[in-house]
Amino acid sequence: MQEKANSEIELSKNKQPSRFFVSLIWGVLAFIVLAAIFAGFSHTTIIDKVLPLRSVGDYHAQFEIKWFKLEEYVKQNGGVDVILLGNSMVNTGIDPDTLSTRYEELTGQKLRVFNFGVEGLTVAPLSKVANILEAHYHPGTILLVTDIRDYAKDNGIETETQFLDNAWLQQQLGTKTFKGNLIDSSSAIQRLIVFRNWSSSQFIDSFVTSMVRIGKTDTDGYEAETNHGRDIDANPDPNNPQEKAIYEMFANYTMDPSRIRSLQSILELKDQGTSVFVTGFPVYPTYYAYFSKEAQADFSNSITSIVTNSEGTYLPVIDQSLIPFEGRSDNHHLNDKGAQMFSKLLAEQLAAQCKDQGNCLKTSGGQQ
Amino acid sequence: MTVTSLLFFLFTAAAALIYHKLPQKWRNPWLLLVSAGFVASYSWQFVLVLAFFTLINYWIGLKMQHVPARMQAWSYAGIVFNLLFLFVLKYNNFYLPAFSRLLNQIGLMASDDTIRIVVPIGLSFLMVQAISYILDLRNNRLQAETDLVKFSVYLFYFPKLVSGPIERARAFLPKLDRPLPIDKSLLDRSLALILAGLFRKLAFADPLFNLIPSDAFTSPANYPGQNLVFYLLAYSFALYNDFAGYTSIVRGVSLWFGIELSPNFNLPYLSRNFTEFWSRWHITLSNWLRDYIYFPLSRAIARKAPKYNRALNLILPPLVTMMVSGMWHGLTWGMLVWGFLHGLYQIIERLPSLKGSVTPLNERSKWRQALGTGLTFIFASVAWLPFKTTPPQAWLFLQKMFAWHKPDFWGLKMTLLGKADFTSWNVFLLPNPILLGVLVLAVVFDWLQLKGKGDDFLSHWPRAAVIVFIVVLLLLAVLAGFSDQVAPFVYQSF
Repeated sequence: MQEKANSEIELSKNKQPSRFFVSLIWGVLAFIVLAAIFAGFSHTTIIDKVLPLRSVGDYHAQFEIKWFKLEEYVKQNGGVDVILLGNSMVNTGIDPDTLSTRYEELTGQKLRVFNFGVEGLTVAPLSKVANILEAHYHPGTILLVTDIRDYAKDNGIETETQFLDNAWLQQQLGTKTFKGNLIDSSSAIQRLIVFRNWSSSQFIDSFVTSMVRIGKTDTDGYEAETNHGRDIDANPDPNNPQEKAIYEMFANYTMDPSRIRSLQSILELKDQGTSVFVTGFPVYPTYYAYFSKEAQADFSNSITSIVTNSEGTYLPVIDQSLIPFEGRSDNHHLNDKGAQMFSKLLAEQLAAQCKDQGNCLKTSGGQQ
Repeated sequence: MTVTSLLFFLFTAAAALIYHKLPQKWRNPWLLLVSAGFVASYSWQFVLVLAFFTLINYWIGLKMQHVPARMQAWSYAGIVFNLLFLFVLKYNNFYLPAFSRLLNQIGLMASDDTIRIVVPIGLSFLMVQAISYILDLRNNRLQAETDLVKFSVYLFYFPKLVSGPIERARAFLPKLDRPLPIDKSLLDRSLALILAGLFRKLAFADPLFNLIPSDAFTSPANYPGQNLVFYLLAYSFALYNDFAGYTSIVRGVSLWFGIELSPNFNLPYLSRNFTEFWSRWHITLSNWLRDYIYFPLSRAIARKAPKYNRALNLILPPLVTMMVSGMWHGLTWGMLVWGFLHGLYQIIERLPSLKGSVTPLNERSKWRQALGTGLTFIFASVAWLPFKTTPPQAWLFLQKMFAWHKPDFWGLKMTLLGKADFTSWNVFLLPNPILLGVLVLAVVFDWLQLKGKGDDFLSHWPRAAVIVFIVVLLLLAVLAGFSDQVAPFVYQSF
C-alpha cells in the first residue's frame, strides 16, 4: 500500500514541469508584462522627452524624422494643406512658415504648409512617398521641387533600393506583411526599433546624428542650414576622379522613361483631388556644369510639357541670381538666409499664379 | 531555414512530436523524411545530390563488407570518391571557368552561357563523416550498415547536417536504435543548450561581427592600431560564439529526438597551450583529424623512420594535420597559412619535450598556466587574420595593429559637455564602447559557463537570473528581427 502511494507521488512529481521550465515561463511572462508597460509608456508624452526618435525600420533616418514630424504637425494643426516635396535642397531651402506667411499677405489665404524634403530621394522614390502622403493626409496641394538629375537613369538607385526595401513602406504601398503591420500599428515597436541596429559599427554615429537632427528640424519640417558655401562659382574639376565619374554619368543625358512615369504618378494625384505644382530649384549655374546647354534646354521643355499635359501646374524656376552667395551653403543648397529669400519669392510666384490665373494652392478641404 | 529562425523550431518541434508517437521501426524513415524536407528548404536539387552521395557511400560500404579481399581497394575508391565529390562541387572555381572556356571554344556551349554547379549545404562535414565510415570499416571498428534508411539518417540527420558536429558512424548509429528517454532532466538540458546557443548568437556573435567596420580587414590603414586590436578580439569572440552557439542549438534540438550529439566546444580561449586548444575548439573535427591524419602519420613515421622518429614526429604530424584542417576549411592561401600557423605553434610548444620530460599542464604553477592561456589566446587570435582575409592583408593588419594613435580625450570631453558638435565617434580614435561592452559580456558568459561546470549551466541558475536572461534574450530576438544587419553562421559556408 505504502509502495503504491510512493509510486503515485513519484508519478505526480514527474508530471509537474521542472523548476527550470517554470523559470522560463516566468521569464516569458516577465517579458510580456514589461512589453505591455513599455507599450503604455510609449503613448505618454514623457517618452518624447526621454527618446524623441521613432522609426519605421527604414534605412533613411531623415525620412522617418519627417514622417513623424508630419504626424505631429497634423495632430497639432488638424491637417496639412500643402506638402513641399523634394530632396535635400527642399529640406534646407524652403521655410514653410515664411512661405505661408507671405502667401497669406498676398492672397489672404491661410495655409498649413509642411516641408517634406528628404535627402537623396529622386523623383522615383518621391512618387511612392507622394502617394503614401496623399493616402494618409489628403493634402490639398503637393508642390514638387524637381531637378534634371532626378531623371538620369540609375542616379540615386542605391538610395532608392534601400529606401524602398522596408516592410512598413511596402505595407503603405499595398504589400501587407505581419512585420509591416506590427510597425504600423505599434507605437512601442516604433520606439524600440530605433535600436534595431544597436550592433552596427555606425550605430553611435547615426543615433547621435538623428538625435541632433530631430532637434534641428522645425515642427513644420524645415531644417535650417547655417553654413556659408565657398567656391560656389568654381566649376567641378573634370580631372578629379569623383567628379569625373559624375561627368561620365551625365554625358549623353536623356530623361529616363521610368523616371518620367514616376513624375506622372505624382501628377495623377489630381484624380484624388490633390493639386500638383512642379517647379525647379534656383541652383547656382556651376551645378549644371556636367550637362550640355542642349540637355538643360531639352529637360526644361520636356518637364514643362509633361506637367502641363497631365494637368499639373509648372512654375518656371526662380531666377537664381536673386539669391546671393551668402544665401547659399554650396552650389545647390541654400542656407537659412537664402531659404528665407527663396521662400518669399516662391510664395510671390504662387500668389501671382493664384491672382492672375485663378490657380491657387488648394487646402486639404479642397478649397482654393 | 536557419537554425535561429522560429520556423526551424516549429518544424523541429512538430517533427519530434510525431517521432515520439511513431513505433520504433518508423522512426528512422521519419527522421530521413524530415531531414530531406530540411535540405529541400534550401534547394530541392540538394536532396538529389546528397541522395547520390549517400547511395555511393552505402554501396561502397557493402562492397567492403562483402568482398573482404578487395576491402583495401574499395576503401581507396571510397576516399577518392568523397574527395573528388568535394573538389568537383565545392572547389569548382578552380576548374569551371577553364572548362566553360573549353566548351565555348569547341562550340558545345554558347559564349554567353555559364555552367552553374549546385553546392549542397554542409558538404565538407558530410565528406569527413563518409570517410570516417569507410576508414572505420577498413580498420574493422565497424560493420557495414545494411539498412539504407539508417545509413542515410547517419549522413542526412538534419540537426547536424549543415555544420556538424561531425559524428562517427560507430557512435551515432546505435543512438538511432536506442534514443534517450525523454524526461524532465533531458528537456531541461535541451532547453538550456538551445537558449545558451541563441544567446551566444544574438548577444555576442552577430553584434561582434557587425561592430567590426566592413573595411577593417581590407583597409586596416583607415583605423588606429588600438581599434584594430579590438576588431581582432571582436572577430575572435564572434567566430567562437557563432560556431559554439550554432552547435549548442543543434545539440539541444537533437535531444528532442533523444539523440545526443557530440560536444564541439569547451571554452577554447581558456586553453593553456595549442594542444589543449585543439581539444576544446571544434572538438569533433579535431578528433577526426587526430584519428585519421595525425595518429596514422605518427605511426607511419615511427615505423618507417625510427631513427628520426622524435624529430620527425615533432614536426610532421602537427604541421600536416593542421594544413589539412586549413584545406578542409577552404582551398585558399589564407586557410593554408592559418593551418600552417597552428601547426607551427604546436611544434614550438613541443620543442621542450625534446630535452626531456615536460611538466603536465595541471601541475604547472598558476602563473604559468595563466601566461599560457594569455599567449595561446593572443596567437590563436593572430592566426584568425589569414582565416578571415588574404595573407597580404592579414600581414598589413598585423603591422597596423602596432601603429597606435593618441586618442582625442579632449575632443570627447568637449563633445560630451556640449561644447563641440558631434561628427563621428571615429574622430576620437577610441574603440567603440558598444563593442567593448559586448566583449566584456562575452567573457563574463564564458566565465559563468566555467563556474557552472557544464554546457547546460543555465539550467542550474537561480530563478531570478533565468528570468532576466529570458527577458534580455527575447529583447535581442525582437531587435534582431527588425535589424538591417545580417550575419549568417560562418561555418554554414564550409
